[in-house]
Amino acid sequence: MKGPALVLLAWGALLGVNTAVLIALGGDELPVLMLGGSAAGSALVGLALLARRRRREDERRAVPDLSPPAALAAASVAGLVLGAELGQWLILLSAGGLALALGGLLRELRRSRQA
Amino acid sequence: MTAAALGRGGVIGLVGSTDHKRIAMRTAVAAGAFFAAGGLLALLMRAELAQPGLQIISTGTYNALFTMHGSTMIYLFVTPFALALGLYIVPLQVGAAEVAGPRWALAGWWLYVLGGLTMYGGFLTRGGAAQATWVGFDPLSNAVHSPGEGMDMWILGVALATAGELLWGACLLATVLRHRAPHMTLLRVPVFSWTVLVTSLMVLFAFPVLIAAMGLLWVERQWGGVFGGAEGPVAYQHLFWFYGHPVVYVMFFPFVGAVAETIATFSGRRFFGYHAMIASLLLFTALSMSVWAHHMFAIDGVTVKYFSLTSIALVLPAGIEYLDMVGTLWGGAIRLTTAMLFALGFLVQFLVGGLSGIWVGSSVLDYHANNSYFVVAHFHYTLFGGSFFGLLAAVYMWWPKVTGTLLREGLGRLHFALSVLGANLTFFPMFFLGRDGMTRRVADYPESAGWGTLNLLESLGALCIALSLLVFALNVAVSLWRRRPATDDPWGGHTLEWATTSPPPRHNFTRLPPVRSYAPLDDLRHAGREQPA
Repeated sequence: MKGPALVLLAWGALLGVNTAVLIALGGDELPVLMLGGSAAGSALVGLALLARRRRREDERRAVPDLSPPAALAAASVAGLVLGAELGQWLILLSAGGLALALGGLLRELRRSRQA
Repeated sequence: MTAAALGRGGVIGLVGSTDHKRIAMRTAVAAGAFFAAGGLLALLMRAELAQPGLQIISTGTYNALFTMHGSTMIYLFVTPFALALGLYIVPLQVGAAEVAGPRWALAGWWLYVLGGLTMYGGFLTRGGAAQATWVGFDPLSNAVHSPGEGMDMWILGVALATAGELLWGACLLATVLRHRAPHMTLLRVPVFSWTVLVTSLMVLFAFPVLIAAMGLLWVERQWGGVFGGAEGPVAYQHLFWFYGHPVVYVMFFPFVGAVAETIATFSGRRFFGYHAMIASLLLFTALSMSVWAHHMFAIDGVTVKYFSLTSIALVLPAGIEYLDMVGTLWGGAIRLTTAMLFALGFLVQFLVGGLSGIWVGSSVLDYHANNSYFVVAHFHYTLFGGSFFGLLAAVYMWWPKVTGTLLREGLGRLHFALSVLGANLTFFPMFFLGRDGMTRRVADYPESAGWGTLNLLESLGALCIALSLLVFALNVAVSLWRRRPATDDPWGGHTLEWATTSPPPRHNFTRLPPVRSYAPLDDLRHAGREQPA
């Protein structure tokens, strides 16, 4: 994972240089925090990639052509968020949908491991 | 009914397919529908502005129209379309069987569509849709100045749609980094896929900040205490523009990549200066993450020196990219297909947007241009004259690959001519109106200002753009109704997507050609020529 890690590290370094210039020119806390945070985040993901070994071909899991539980999970998350505006009934309905979707996703994952 | 039977068609196939191509197509169709809605809002605005005085709509309605027009184009059309293009093409270009994290990509589509419908749901509420601009400026967007559910729906919709786009960004990044074909090193990844890679980096680090800002804005509207005091609105703007400027480049880079591929293909030459382009993309995106407060020059408490410096520094990587594209054209066997015309249109018109960007990137000049039609002209030249032309170049080039049919070239040329005329008639006069002091986001202007003629020209230009889009719709309808089948590689493309069938099968490839450079099909052609007869 050296190449991908280098991309993230290089990008993090460029953001780091920009953060340093911002600090040198008297940047406020919030801008420094956001830009510096992105630089650190990019570098951390790069380091994590560096530490991670490449997955072998035979380790790759088959993904089903259809995944209704993934669609249901996303719709349920949207329902939970909208429930804040439209009422508790939608939150309860969406929570039920999410539980169902997570169950379905677990079943899909178990099947793909067995395959 | 078996799962296999539902795999390609049927309701379950429609809502739950994990095929990256189907997700991308659904996104493109949804984005197209939102674009039509946003375009209608723009036409209504231009109808109102065609002459001084209020004739068609009230000022409140006008506020809702420009808020929803900007929100639609940015959150629901150009950004998702750019990422959808990546979702379709990137796995093919890097020789992958599917996108990384297909379930996440599917979930992203649902979040995006439901987010968009939520934003538009605001029109059905008592107070109407949101009216606080696509930025949702605080305190304009707080419960005192924007009462009613429309604003809340906008906030939640923006958060949901952005979350969906964030998931796509993560999937695309992982695809380029981890799902490449054997022997496709990072320095053999085609230019378009590189542009999507750097776009995904910006999505990954900028979009979560917008989701957080929307969450905070919603809390502010319910209970207050988040963006209070003199510093609160400035803090909101920092949070917003940390997303708001990178997203301009999210809406730009994939189309730069598409234009680069178009120019290389229709010049019959490999892309010139590949390595310089990759380096400039990394530099460009890192700078794009660091310029956001140039939108806030007119506000106290901004480090003007830094943000002006980084904004002007953008000309360096932008110059390299232009040089590479002109270098590719230089000495090439140029074929002026519709795709190539739109790519060349992109190069010229984006230049106008880019050069006017130097103007507004300079803090001293920006004090005059701030909040005027000059800014509206600048960003429409980048987003419409630039990105939208790039998008159309991409559509005309990859249409045969996606549908297996050819679009009509004659109608395509008419579409291009009307687009150029419409874009320049609509947006160029805005530079003069801005210079003369016409402020943006107003439904009316005084007759004595003498802005009537230029505004009328702009409204005629908007009609011309609408007409150009009708020609495009006709072209699509004709091409699907009376099909002219496309071969697997109708243009003589350079990259792997042209090595598979049109349209590609479920897992993209039955066999892959060897990958020895960023233009593997061009390698094959040259190898064929060099072999003795």
